[in-house]
This record gives sequence, structure tokens and C-alpha cells, in this order.
Amino acid sequence: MTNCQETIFQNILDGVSPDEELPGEQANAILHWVAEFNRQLYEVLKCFSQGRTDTSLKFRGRIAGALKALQSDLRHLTWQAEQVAKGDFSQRVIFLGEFAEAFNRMVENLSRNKSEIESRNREIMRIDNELKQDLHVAAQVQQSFAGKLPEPDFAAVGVLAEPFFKVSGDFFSTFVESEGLFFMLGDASGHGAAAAMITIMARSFLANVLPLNPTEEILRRMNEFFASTLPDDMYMTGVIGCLNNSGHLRVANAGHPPMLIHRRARGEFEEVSGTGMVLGMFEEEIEPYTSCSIELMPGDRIYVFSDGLLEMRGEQGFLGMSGLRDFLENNGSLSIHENLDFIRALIFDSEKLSPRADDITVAAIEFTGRSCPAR
Amino acid sequence: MQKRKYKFDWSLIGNLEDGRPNLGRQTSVEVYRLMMFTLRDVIELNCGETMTDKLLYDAGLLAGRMLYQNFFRDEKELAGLISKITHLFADLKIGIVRFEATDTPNFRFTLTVAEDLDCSGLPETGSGVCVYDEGVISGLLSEFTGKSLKAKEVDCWCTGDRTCRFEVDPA
Repeated sequence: MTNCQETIFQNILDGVSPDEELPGEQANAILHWVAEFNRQLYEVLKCFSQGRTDTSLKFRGRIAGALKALQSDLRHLTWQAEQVAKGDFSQRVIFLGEFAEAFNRMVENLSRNKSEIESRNREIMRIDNELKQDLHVAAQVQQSFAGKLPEPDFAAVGVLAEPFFKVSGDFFSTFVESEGLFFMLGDASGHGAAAAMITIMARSFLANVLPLNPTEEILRRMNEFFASTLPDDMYMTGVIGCLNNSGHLRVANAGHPPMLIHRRARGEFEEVSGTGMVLGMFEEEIEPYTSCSIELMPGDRIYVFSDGLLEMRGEQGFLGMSGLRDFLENNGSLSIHENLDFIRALIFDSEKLSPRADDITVAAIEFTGRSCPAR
Repeated sequence: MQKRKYKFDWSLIGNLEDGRPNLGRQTSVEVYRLMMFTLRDVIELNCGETMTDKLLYDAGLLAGRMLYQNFFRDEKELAGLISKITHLFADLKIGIVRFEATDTPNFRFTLTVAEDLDCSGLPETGSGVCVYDEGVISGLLSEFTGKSLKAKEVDCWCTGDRTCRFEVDPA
């Protein structure tokens, strides 16, 4: 294209018509360039409409310049959006009219929201730390209440207690009285601090009513106490027993999983099922708690546990009573302490069981048969 | 080394509140361009085009370094620097700066300056005129990165591109 043709072409692109009629050859050359310009213009606009800004118009002038300015704006906005995505909320768009206002308002809102979230997170962290410290102290208090296990001459006692988180809604208490070895395993509804407080109430109550009452009377009084003190949606299940030095066991149950007795000499298990209502749910008009009597032989073992153990899930479903029996049968020759260690290992064996969702307490008592005065 | 009469430091900008109590800090684009292009004209007559470009680039480089030291030296983040450059250039009415791409590890940048103080609205001459701007951009980014960088104008108002685009690479 000659300089003259280029000037006329550029003027046409800038909206200026030729001053005079052009000869056919010159007009054709210019029309050719106008067509090429339109073709490139379409390609660039098509790319822009698809969000691509890597194509440029190979022409000069107002239209090409305006497109390059738009291309520059789009690339810069992309860069700014990337910075915002990285967390730089200082980005502001200038000289882009309503879009700039909307973008800047959006970034300001993002920044404000992030600040609020960070502020709330700090508050949550502070509360979380306080709660953890409180729970740590509460766990220490709870452990101090548990005390040491008794060592009567006619029985061996072991317990494993694994709180779901810091403090436990389960408790296992033992008292040696003239009648024999009293024991109770309780499980407050839920888990955590509220449930743990109920266990402390239960331990204190139990200490106060022993040794005056038989097992079913203890449950009756405990039900009265909890029904008048606990919130409506809270309750406790429990199993209580008294084993004397002759192997006579008296058991009462308040809505708790059955006690398991392992007759090791015969390789048999007996389930002593519950017969009474959970503690604290109803104050009146409930069936009286009852107790049953069982005679143990030397070597026989009593297992009491919270439902968290039975509800552990493996590949074939819940561990359940049958799973527990299989486990105890296979390890019947071990001491009760070794058995409890194996159960603890099983609880935390992620290949066999999925993570637990509740407190777990298991107590084992072996009647050894030696007849000595209880302490 | 010959004695220097006006080795630049920021004090040469002067005390504008004291010195221009009525007219203030602002002047016009016409005045700037009158000075820039008459200066360029005379230098070109005396030193030729190539040397003129070199002198104006070096002057821009010094201006860029001084701008950085005076306004941006505490900025450690590239995004923060770009934001401050953008706002300062708009506030001082130098131009509308838009960074299009940044490749910090390789010290490569692409940016445009629209409504540029040096060239926007000038007649199309077919060749870029923003050699002073090239120096300013090189000076700013060299000071920030600690590496010698060189900006090259690839689109200019005077080449008919309307928006000035600069590509910055290691020198």
C-alpha cells in the first residue's frame, strides 16, 4: 500500500471520508485493507468475548488503540483479581467507572468479612483454650474422685477408662463394706463436661448411701435424686453389684447394657440383663428396681462396660456383645489386667475398628475365691 | 571528575509551599511538554538522535530511582509497590498505570500507561517517543528488585497504538 493509500485507509478507520473520488485501483486496495481490518477486528472481539486477551489488532488508529486500551484494562483486572485471590485486599481499580466502584466495593467487603472472620476465629481460639484448660482441671478433679481401686482378698479388680474428650461421662466406683465389694458402673447421657459433672454427683451420692441399702434400693434412691436434680433431657444408666467373699453376687440394673459373667472353668458366658428404668428420667410411676443373685466360682469373672464399647464399629458392623464375648473367650487365660490392656489396644486399633464416638469404660472383677475378711 | 553544579537529590524539587504559596504544586501538561520537547530538540541538534534517547533514558532512570527512594522504599511486596505506583502516577497525573503481567522470579513485567504525560495526544510519528518513561519504569523496578532491569516501549501513542505498553526484562 502506498503512503497515500495508507493515509486514506487510516482516515477511513478513524471515521474520515476521502476528500475526492478515488480511482478504482486505489479504492480496491483500500477496500481490501478495510476487509482485512474487519477480519482481524472480529477475531480480536471474538477472543475478548471468550475471556482471552492474548490477541492484538495489527493496525493503528482510534479503533485499534481503543481495543488495546480495553485489552490492557482486562489484563490488569485479571492481574488485580489474582492479587485479591492471594489475599491482597489493598487492590483498587481506578478510572473504570461503575465497574471500578463495584470491584472496589467487593474487595472492601471481602476485606471486612475476612477481618470479622479472623476476629471471630481469635475469639473462638480464646474460648477454646479456656475450655481446654477448664476441661484439663475437670479431668484432674474427675480422676481424683475415682480414687484407687480396692484390693479385697477374694477378688481382683481392674478398670480401663477412656474419655472421648478429656473428661468422661462414664464412671466406675468401688467400695469395700462389711457386706462385700460394692461396685457401680454408670454412664451419663451424652459426653463431655455436663456428663462428667453428673458422674461426680453419682459418685458422691453413692458414697453417702452405702452401706445402708441393698443394690435395688440404691438405684431407687439415685433415681429420685437425679429426677429432682438433672435437666429434663439428661439421665444416667448404671449397673450396680455387691460381691461377697463367698462368691455371692447381687446385681441391679438401670437401663444399662447387660453385665457379662465369664465362667472360665466351663468356657461359658452369662448375660445378666437390665430390668430397671434409666436413672433420672421419671421420678414416679416406674416399675420398682429389682436385683438378682448369682453364685460365682473361683476364677469366674464379671465384666461391666459402657455402651461406647459395644458401639465400636468394625468391618462387620458393631462390636456388640457377641464380638466382646469372642474377644474375651480368646483371651480367657490372660489376667484381667492383661485383658483390659488388650481391649484398650483394640479400641485404638484403627485397622479393626473405626474411631470411637463415645466415652468407653470397662471394668473386670475376678472372684479369686480366697475367703478373707473384707477391708 | 568535573565539578557538579546540580547533582540531583530530592531537595532540588524545592519547598513548594514556601516557594509557590499562590500557584501551588500544579502546572500544566503544556508546560511539561514544552520543556521536554524543546529540551529534546536542542539536545538532538547538538548530540544526535541516539545520544538524545540515551540521555533522556538515563534521566528517566535517575528519576525512577529517586521516585522509588522518596515514595516506595519501605514497600517490600510487589503487589503493594504496584498499587502505590498506580496511585502516585494517577495523583501526580503522570498517567494511568496498569500492570498486565508480573513474573517476579524471572524479573519480567508488562505494563501499560494510558493518558501518558509524555505522549498521549501527540501526532503519530511512527516511532515511540516515551524513552524518558522507559527510564523511569526501569529505575523504579530496578531499585525494588535490586537487579538491573530495562523497560522497552513496544506500543506507543505516537506509533498509532494509543496506549503505551512497556515490557521489562533483565538488562
